[in-house]
Amino acid sequence: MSAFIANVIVYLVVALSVGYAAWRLGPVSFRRWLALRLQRRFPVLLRNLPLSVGGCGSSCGGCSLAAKPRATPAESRVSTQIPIRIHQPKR
Amino acid sequence: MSAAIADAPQLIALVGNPNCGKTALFNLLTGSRQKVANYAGVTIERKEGIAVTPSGRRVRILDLPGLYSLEPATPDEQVTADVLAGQRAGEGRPDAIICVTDATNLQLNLHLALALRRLNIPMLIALNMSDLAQRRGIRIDREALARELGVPVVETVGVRPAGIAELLKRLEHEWPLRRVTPDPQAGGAIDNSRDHAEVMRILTAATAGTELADTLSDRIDRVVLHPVAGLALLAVILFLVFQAVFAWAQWPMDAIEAGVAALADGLSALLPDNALRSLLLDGVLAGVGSVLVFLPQIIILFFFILTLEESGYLPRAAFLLDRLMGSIGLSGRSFIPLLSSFACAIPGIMATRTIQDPRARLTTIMIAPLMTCSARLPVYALIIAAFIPRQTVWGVLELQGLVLFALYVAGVVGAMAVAYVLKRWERGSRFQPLMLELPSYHLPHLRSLVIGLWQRVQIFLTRVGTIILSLMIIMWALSSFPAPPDGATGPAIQYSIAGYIGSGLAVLFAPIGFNWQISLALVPGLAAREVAVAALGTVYSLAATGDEVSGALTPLIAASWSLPTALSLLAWYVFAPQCLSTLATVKRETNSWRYPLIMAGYLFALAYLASFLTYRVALWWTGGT
Repeated sequence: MSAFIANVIVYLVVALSVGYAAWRLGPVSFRRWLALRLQRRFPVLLRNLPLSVGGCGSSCGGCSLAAKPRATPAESRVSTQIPIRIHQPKR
Repeated sequence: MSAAIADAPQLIALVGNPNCGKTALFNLLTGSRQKVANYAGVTIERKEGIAVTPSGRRVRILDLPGLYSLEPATPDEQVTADVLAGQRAGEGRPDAIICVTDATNLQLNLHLALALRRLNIPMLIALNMSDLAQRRGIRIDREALARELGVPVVETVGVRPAGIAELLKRLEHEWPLRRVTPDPQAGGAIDNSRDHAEVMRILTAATAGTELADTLSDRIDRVVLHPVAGLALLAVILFLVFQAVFAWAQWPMDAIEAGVAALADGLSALLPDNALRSLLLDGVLAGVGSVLVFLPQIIILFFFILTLEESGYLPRAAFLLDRLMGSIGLSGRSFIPLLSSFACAIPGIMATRTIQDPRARLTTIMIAPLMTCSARLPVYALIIAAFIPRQTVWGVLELQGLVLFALYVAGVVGAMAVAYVLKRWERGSRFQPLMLELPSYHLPHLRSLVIGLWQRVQIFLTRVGTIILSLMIIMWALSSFPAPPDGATGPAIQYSIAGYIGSGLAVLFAPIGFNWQISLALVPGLAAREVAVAALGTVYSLAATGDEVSGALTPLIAASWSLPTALSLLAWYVFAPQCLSTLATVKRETNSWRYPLIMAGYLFALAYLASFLTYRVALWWTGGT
């Protein structure tokens, strides 16, 4: 394998890793914004692009299993999840 | 297809008291693998799955948090009440309810069944745990119960598929289920004394035989719930778990390490010396391999956690610790969320929804990250293996296991101290009495245990193969570029972007004994703690000069770190600021950035202080400067 091909492979792998890490660790609002635009441009190819990652995906368990099934942007617009808040006691 | 089948319900809600087996039924009905455990409060969110009826029709099944009445007291109960009232955004009322009842505790469960009947939603009763009831001598006349309640009754056993087919068949063929018109005399209002009389009347008509007075669970509880013997037993159990994590994991860890080394040797011989070879050896194998090796220890830890969850022991532990937790401003109800945090802080923080008092809930959220999550285990295990000798204490105890136990205890003690401080601060908080249902003991089901462990393996391997792998590739790139200048004498990594970042951070962390490699590894460790181990693997692999081929990480750090540095890093990880996902979860649960920022700040300060003290004391002890 020539050094040139090896370098091209390395650059590709690094670029993919940067993209994946940014997607995984980025805020949900950014993922949603990007997914909507990508799915408009490539509707068939990215139909099932997941908007939310199950839990933190760590080795610990629980939260990843409890994650919602994959949601498409269309589904996410009618999301039924309501944040549960800490209600401050009335004074 | 008959008219009844054609009109079969589209949305069915599983509703019942906590720990009556709703999620086990949900898993059987939908083929899901949601978390199940033998204690109340495991399900804290609405979950949805699809079940297929005998005629091939697909229906949506909702698994809802358990509740005792339709007057919600906690956020998780509110979810169920909202769904049943049709008040969830974007979702109508369920078409039917499967009221899951614990056949061994019918008296308590029937109160909720009566309340659900008043909702005027078609309902079916799943008489769950019917096998356990029979073993205890409780005989329930199913036909009589159905007649008295006015709804169909099906016997089920949550862990066996036997009753599920009948449940779906009845639901489909008896559709539309009869709606129960609210009692005009009661006017639909809740009348507890009237309900109680109705429950007793139904019980008299539908049950025979009495529960054996002295069950095995009662006899076990005499020891387990004893104020002295019970606490001693709890300490012994936890202690044995950590001993086993080190004692049992050695040979599989050696095997994984040997496998990674063999792969590295093969690739090294196969590939020419170029950037791709360095990426695969120094980035992928050195980074990912150094985390993968801890898989056996994680499996052993979860084997014990799952066994304790399934057995029914955990609520007893909550009961035992209630007095202690009360003294620091928490209630026994905080125990389960805190215990969940030993696996991961995220489900632990979410589980605080079962806590009624907002202040107690907030305190529990703030201290949950101090429980030692399993992502810390690789970090602890790496440093312990490198610096604590493998020797026995008093002939039987592993010294390494003892140190690991001490680190877990340090996290708990730190959490208690923080809770105590918060209690002094929040003077308005009041003591919340613990009301807890103690489930019967049972032997863990082998299938559940194997599935649970397999899920943990899958989660861990997925994590290693995705986020850890991608971060290690990025770390390799940052550590390899730009190339060192002409005439450079040190390892190339020193001249790279990562080298400069590490050197900059080392100024901040030098007072606590961290070198630039550790300082650098802390950054990707914010994504998840075990990534720090992988980052160290990559950094030390790249730092190897000349023809030196880096070996396993453990001997490398043993050779290059001092004991005070190692102890300081251990102290850092006892209190280390949380991973970003945890902070995001705190933000979501509290609906404010205030608390995650406070949490990150106090954990950083605590970690820095603990590391500083540990490092200075260890330096003084070892005669360093």
